[in-house]
Amino acid sequence: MWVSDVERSDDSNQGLLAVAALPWLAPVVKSFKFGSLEVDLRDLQQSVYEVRSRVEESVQKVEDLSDQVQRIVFSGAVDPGTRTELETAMSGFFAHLRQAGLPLPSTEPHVEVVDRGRVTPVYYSARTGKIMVARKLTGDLGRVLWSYGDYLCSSVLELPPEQWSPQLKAVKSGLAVYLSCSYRGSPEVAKESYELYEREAASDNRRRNLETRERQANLDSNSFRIPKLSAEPGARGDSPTRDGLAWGGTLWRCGPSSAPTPPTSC
Amino acid sequence: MALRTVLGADTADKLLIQSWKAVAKEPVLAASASFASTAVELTEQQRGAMAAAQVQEVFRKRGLVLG
Repeated sequence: MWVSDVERSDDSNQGLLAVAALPWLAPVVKSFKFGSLEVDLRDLQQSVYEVRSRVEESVQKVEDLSDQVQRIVFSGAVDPGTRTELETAMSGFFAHLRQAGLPLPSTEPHVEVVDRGRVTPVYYSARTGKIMVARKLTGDLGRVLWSYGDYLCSSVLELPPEQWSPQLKAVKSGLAVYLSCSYRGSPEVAKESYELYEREAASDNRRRNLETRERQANLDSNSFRIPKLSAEPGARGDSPTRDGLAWGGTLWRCGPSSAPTPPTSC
Repeated sequence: MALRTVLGADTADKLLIQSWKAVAKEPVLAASASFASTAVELTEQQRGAMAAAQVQEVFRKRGLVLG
């Protein structure tokens, strides 16, 4: 009955019916012949299976990639060129951290570029939820990524910001600066800002450098004295930045050693 | 020996992010010790006791003595 119906259909309809019936027909019927066209059902089934696998694989890749991209909201005194530069740097950092296991934040980052003369902020404000970047320091990608990292690490915390302990803030800031330095492959912090201000020579060991925090701690002339991690952050009137740098320096020392030794066999 | 020397930079970043996620689940007042202890534990799990002792020593030198 069914075969006689198929014989009355034109070739196209027969082909479509055959493809639709592939999963059931292929195990028992080897091929169909439509006029001069012979279709091997098992070959066709294999091709359909392979195409479907490739489509599923591509869909998975798109989903994976979309997890590593975050839309960034910009406001304030930002020009298109600066915006592109910041977006590129931040997107690369975000993809790196996503691959390293950082969860996807539930909010989009908001970068506000400000132009306030002598006031030159570059930080993440948990209170406003914004990453503030002074227009003249937009070229300091290290500090921008540190602030962005601070936002990303903050997004992992379930407690509201007003309940974060000083220790938690210090570890968070330190992890953020460590991760930004690790991503860039350099322990130097705010390199571009120093160059902009021409404050200190490149050899000046007072520059913020995660690798030299211990040496800097012993400098009489250094206002950035390094607190002990056991000290209660903020208790000495220190800024979160200073406590964060103490942690960042420690994590860096946990990280690349200044005198690398060969890995142990495990 | 340093953690990134033992694990490589990418793995060290992953380990520290893992530590942060663990602390973030239940933020405690002693977040410093909690984070450092978790990092040491994860190092031990992933690279053994010797590497973990080296990481613990880095924290100790910076004034953070872990139990």
